[in-house]
Amino acid sequence: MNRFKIACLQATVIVGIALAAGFAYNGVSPQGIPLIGNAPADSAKSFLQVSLNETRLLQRSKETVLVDARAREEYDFGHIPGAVSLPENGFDEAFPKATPLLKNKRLIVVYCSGPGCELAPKVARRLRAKGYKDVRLFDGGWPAWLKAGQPVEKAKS
Amino acid sequence: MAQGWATGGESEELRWDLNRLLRWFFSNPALSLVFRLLLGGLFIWASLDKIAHPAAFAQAVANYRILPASLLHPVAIILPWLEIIAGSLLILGIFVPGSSLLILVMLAVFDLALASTIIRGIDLSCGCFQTGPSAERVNPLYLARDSSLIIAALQVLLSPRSWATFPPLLRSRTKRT
Repeated sequence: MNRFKIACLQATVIVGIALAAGFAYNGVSPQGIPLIGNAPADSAKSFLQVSLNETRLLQRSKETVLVDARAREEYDFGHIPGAVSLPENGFDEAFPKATPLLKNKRLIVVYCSGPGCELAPKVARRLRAKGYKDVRLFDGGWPAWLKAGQPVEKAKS
Repeated sequence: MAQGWATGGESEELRWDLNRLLRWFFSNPALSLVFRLLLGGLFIWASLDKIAHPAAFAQAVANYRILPASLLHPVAIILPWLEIIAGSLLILGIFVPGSSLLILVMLAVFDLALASTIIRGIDLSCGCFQTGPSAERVNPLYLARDSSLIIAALQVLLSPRSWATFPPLLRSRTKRT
């Protein structure tokens, strides 16, 4: 049997051992994760993250809408151009007004005041509960956008 | 004879030297042992954090935006074990062709995934050795690193002999008894 065939045969055996070991360990480990689906923790880790570079690109896309989860006052003072205000505190009042702006968008990116801010994950969860499938988080948030010197939009007074 | 131009004879000699170098490189058993220890150690080390934190690794894989959601968790569960088992077998000199083939395939896939994130301008942490917030960010130097590891894995796969592999050690022991 030539070397490549031997290699393929051995590789198959190794993959079989890895499958067995991986699933067995995952089953007994306290850190184990479900075989399919999102991470079990109800936190920012349940959502895909987008980076600053991606946010810059997505912000220009017609298929994407950015959502600002901070308080309305903070949004009015300055937000990412084109972002829709949907504050976590006051979500139910703001959502009907925001719905037309979210319609027909393939992707929603939610941000707030940066890493550690829980407003964006909470708004993202509520949007997902409303049926929006592709909701992601810009974890760097407003501070990262400002720090990168990106353009800023303010609410019209 | 014009100066600065290689004659037919000189270019043939150069080709012959290159062939000899390649043959030496891909058949040297000592080199194969060195690469086995290097690759095996690297893959074992890379697997440990991923086995300890599968959820964070699943997130790192998801951030590459390549796999469908249904495959993220199975890959996050199985891949680190593939790394640690293939790495261990390579160091021990057991199933060397198979483990080196798997490591070569994994490196090629990682390289393609890295290249695709760089081309798409996705800024993310590699997830190669660590999955936490301080994990290294992807940059083009990783392509160079992984490409050199691919050459090392290819050497181990193609080398007909390697020092300190398990079956020859076993055979030499049984001969002595």
